[in-house]
Amino acid sequence: MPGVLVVDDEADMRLLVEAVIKRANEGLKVVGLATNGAEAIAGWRDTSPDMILLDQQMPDMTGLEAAEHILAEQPDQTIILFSAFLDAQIRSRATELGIKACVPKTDLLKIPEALWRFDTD
Amino acid sequence: MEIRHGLTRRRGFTPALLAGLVAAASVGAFAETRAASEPDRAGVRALATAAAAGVSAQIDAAGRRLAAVSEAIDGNPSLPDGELISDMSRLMSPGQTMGIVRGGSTDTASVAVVVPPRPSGALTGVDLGRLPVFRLALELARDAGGPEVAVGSGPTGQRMVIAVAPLYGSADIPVDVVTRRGSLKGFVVLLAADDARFGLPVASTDADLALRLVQGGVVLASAGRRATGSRPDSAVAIPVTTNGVSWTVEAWPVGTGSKRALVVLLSGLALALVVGSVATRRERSIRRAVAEAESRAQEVSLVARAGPLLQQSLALSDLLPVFAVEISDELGLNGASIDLVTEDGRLARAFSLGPTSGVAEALDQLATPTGSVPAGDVITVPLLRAGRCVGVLRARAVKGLSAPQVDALVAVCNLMAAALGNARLFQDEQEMVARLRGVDRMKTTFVSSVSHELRTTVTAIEGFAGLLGSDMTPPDDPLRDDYLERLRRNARSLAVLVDDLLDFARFERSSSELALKPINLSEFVPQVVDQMSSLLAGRPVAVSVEPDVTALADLSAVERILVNLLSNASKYTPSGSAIEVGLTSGDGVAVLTVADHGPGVPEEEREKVFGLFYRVADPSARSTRGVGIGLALAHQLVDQLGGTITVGDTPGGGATFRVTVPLVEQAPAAPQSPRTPAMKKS
Repeated sequence: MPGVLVVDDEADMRLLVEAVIKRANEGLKVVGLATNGAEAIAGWRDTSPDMILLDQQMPDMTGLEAAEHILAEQPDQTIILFSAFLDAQIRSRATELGIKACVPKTDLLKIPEALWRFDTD
Repeated sequence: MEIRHGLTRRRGFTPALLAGLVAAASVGAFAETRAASEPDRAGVRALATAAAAGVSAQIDAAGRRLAAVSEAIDGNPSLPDGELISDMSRLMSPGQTMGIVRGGSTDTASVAVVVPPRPSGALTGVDLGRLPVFRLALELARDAGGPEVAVGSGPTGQRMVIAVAPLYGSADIPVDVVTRRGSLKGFVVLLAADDARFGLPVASTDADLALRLVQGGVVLASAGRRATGSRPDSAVAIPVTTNGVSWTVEAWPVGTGSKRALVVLLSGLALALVVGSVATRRERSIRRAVAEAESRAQEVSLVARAGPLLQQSLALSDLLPVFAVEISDELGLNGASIDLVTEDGRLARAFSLGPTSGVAEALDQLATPTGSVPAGDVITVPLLRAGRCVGVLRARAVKGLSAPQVDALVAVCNLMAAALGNARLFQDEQEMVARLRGVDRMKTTFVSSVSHELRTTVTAIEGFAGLLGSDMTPPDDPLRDDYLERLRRNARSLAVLVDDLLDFARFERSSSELALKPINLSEFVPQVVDQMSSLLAGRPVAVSVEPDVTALADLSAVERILVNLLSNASKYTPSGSAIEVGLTSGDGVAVLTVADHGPGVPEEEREKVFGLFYRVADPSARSTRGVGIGLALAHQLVDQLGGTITVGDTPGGGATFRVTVPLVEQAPAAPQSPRTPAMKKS
């Protein structure tokens, strides 16, 4: 069962994402929760998730910065940027880094579907 | 024999050439009386050497003296006759007579002075104008307005060489003939009798000499039948320099016989001196004019170069040094300093080269300088723009400044003033652009923040509503209450955000009317805190309220202030940490404090946090939710209530916002609304 690391500084969003994935019951499993970039990197090392759902706007670093760090070490890691504010600049940088997809937060309920679609495993 | 001398300057037409031409005229007069004879080669070479040396000495000495006298006469037409006689006597050689004719036309010309005076001589006291030969010479000179030479006979019938040099009564010789005619004041007249020997050491010899006056390989004048041929090896050449003009006197023996050749040549040479000196003075006046023109050209060039120079940059920091260095180099200034008029009308030093050259006078005492400046003096030039003084240049004129140089400096300073005005406009514009860019950045941040806030909150509301409404959460699921609470909190958060945005619109209009009335803050503050509890989830609020604190304020304003401060505190206080709200009174004001345990506000940012769209620079705080309106709005509302708002440290870390609002007892009561006794209960 593919594992997902959920990274978001908003407790509500973590809870929602976790609930949505769980309730969708589509064979995905939340293997870790992180509230900032540093926790995301640590959680990624600890849990070796199949996918990372990464918030962009966080207190210590942006999701793009965290993704850059992770993808430098493991270029084939599936990362999906999950952000409330996605502009062309962020999308273009995400593509450059090798992030699989950018999903707006308003598409919360479509998260499981997106995760499946972009999971390369 | 006569030769006219045009004064128009031509190539190669030097004073010496003029002199030579005059000399040649005399030679011509000599030719008919000359008797040929064989040269006595043995003894004449020494004689020729002596003769050449004598001629040179004569030319040299007479030339210098004549130039001096001529200058004195020209520059001072009213020089007393006594002084003229004295001066001219020193010029005379034996056999020569010199006169001054005053008056510039045949009608008015009369002999004023004749030197030397001869008690029994025909010339003494004689009106030279009556002599036909002299009249002729005078007429020629007057016609051309230039020096003239003639050979004729005197009152006793003796041969005479007459040289006439015009006097114009000024140091400058007019360039065109018409002006020369108009400004003629008289003439210097030289009469040389043909038996004069000029004191030369040739009296004891019968030798005939060929003499030539040569300049740059060109024979200017010659005397003696064979003097026109090539120069024999036996010739001697003596270089002569007179009035700055150099030539060579060459002499060689051609036989014995008449001394007239020498005499006439010497007469010619003496005449040449008259002409040469006048011409030399003309040359000098031309040089003066050229120097003057060059000086003017230098000043024009300074002004001309200043223009592009001052347009090179619009930055004051570039302009001032370039300007100061340029004028200092050009005009020999030292310690140039530039003071600029500040907005409050004072002078402030903006730039200086080297030690300051003193403090400029008060602005109202500054006058644009005119006339020359003595060496070592300090010159002060106001920088005028549209008649208004925008600054002052001061510098020491090390070598002094001529009046035209001062004029040029003033002109350049006015150009500088214009450039300063442009630089200031540019600076203002740059500042405006920077401000607008800042505003633009803030707006961008604002839009991005608002988008983020709205989407996050709405997503949460939608998400929890979706969970609650779907099959995924059965009615008996214990999580329902949690979802409901979260949904409610996000809705509240959204309401605050919307209020913020509405407030922002109001803030922009900046014209909200407050209805001041007594408010019992001791009761109102806990109510507001209570309403806000859902937004402050996880962050306990400790309220400490002094009883019966009543302020004269606007209810909704106080609510907005407190809500915004609490909302701000909740953003920066970690979950689980307490927020402390306090209310006290003293010094006529109610004091409301809201303390959080977040990162705090750095000292240098404490003024700025109340600015619109401001977010703390700390990167960890920047990602905190918020759009930068709440505190700005609180500040505006507190202002309208007549209170103050400040931010300081919370003991143990964090920020404490402190708001004061006038107590009802201290506030000026509205005229038609007497204080209500029952104000304790709101």
